Amino acid sequence: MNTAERAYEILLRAYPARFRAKFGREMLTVFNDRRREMRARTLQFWAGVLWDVAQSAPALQLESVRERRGGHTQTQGGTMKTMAILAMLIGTLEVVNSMVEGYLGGVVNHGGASLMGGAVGIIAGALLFASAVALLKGSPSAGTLARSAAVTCFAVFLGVALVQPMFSIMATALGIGFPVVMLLYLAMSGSRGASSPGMI
Amino acid sequence: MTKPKQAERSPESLLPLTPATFQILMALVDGERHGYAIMKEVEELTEGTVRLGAGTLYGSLKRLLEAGVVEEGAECADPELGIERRRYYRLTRFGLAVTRAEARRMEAVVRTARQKKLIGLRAT
Repeated sequence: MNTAERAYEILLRAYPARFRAKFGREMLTVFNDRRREMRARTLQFWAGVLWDVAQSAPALQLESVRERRGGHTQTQGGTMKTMAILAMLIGTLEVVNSMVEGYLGGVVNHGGASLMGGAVGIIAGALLFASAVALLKGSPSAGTLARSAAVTCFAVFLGVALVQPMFSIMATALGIGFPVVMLLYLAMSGSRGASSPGMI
Repeated sequence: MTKPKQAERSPESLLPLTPATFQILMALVDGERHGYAIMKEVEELTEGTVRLGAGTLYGSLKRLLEAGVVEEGAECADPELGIERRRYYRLTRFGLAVTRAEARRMEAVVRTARQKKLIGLRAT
């Protein structure tokens, strides 16, 4: 094996192990064919190789993670349902808690920051609840709505934690932590909505 | 790799195809080819505007195999390229239907572009 082949074998490690096991040898053969063809243009050849690896390996790695974590639609559907139910419960909790906090801190004790915290908390909780309903219905925009709700919820409760430290610790921790988990899950499952066509 | 039940799916359910995927399928319409031959055919078909890298090519082939659009053929040497054994790939019947469906979809897009005078009128 020459230096160029060894270098390409190192680059091939960027691809998932199963993909490499199936196509690695063929990719090396094609690499050698292409190298012979472009002998005089070494720099251009390697730039092309690096660009190709950078373009294709991350997508294949993500696909591999998806296949491992929930390749079967049924499992994926079940996890999505669990995530939606959790979002619904946490959304409801946030709305109720924010109403109580807003009322006690804002209306009873005349705290402007508490009132504001309660108001934005209600909105964030309601958004989380709405995204959960969309996920359960499997509407095409569910993924986008869930992502927006998660980002809003995260930003709101992070803001509340900084401005209003007296806000319920559990509600604040859930408001910050759950959106992160939800965003990670959506990224892994690649939710594009139930009716999206299968891009190949 | 598990092949999905093709009877349950219409070719249109896989559309739109990515440009690279469509070119790979077009390269396989005339018969089975190995990886490097697919690359060369795509380059020729697109007059050099599309140059597939190995990662892009085999990433697409993996998805096409999983979708039952392409199947593996024999593994044998290409006399023009030496003694190394190469895996050949070919379209399935479903794959041919998918390629036709994508071509029809693109034809409709081109027709609309002509109607809107974005491209030249068809020479008859």
